[in-house]
Amino acid sequence: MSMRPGEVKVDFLINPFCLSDRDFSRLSGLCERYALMLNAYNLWDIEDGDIDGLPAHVSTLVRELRSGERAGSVYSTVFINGERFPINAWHDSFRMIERRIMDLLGMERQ
Amino acid sequence: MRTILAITRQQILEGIEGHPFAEAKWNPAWGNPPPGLLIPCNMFGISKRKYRCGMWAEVFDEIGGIGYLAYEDGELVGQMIFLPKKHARRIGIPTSRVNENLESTIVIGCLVVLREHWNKGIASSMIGELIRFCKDRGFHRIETYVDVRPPDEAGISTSYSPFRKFGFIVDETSQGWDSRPDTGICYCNV
Repeated sequence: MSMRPGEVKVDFLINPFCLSDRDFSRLSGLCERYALMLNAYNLWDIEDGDIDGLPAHVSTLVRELRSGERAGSVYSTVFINGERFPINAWHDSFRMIERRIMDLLGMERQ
Repeated sequence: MRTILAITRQQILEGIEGHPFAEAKWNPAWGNPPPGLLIPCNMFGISKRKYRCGMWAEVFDEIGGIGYLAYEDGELVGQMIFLPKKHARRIGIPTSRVNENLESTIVIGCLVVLREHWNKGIASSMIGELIRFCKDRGFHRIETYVDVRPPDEAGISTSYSPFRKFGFIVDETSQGWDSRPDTGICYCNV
């Protein structure tokens, strides 16, 4: 069953190391195209004491990265309704993200 | 002639004209070229970007540097970017699983040399500069992710080879990149 744009939650966990400008521009363009709300969280700005207030899928990843339990990367991560999409392969990562958005909205792929 | 220069705060804010990684199109020699992809290194030219983050300027102000630029005969051919491990952990950069001395460990997050300048000791020159920086500033350990495969197989990934010369040891308990099982972490006490 298709969702309305307001029901598709896009969370963007930004790694500011090197590519956040590129990824923010691309993702905000996608969200604009499909009329989705984009919630952006920059890892640099997240204090340890604020982690509990983040969406659960975001806070879990932040905790794993900061504890050293999970191997790291310089890449940002997109969550669509809680499903994780690491942006680790241009342009494929964004193609996957857009496909997922279109599937949720019930749109035909070209 | 080779010159290794420390990245300045001005470069963080305003950028570097002609920077081969920040401005040029992806070089097919770096492997898997996505057509027309720009490499917009966010550690340079922050004030000109659509998405702005003050991290690099803050790191610079805290420890007095974020990296080096390598020039060969005036041409920019390589760069190294580093930050304290406590900050690397904060933003999820590859580090060893060791949780001690986060304040006094430096993590190299980026070490690249243009392919046509490989095997000239350029990476080693930058590592040597970083070791001096660490000794001057009270950092006692350096960590970095490396591709543990032979350099030819590693492609554009950072090779272990230049680090081995400085006594870096591979930490067998830590994977480097989340998405790259062939990467590990190596470290050296300075």
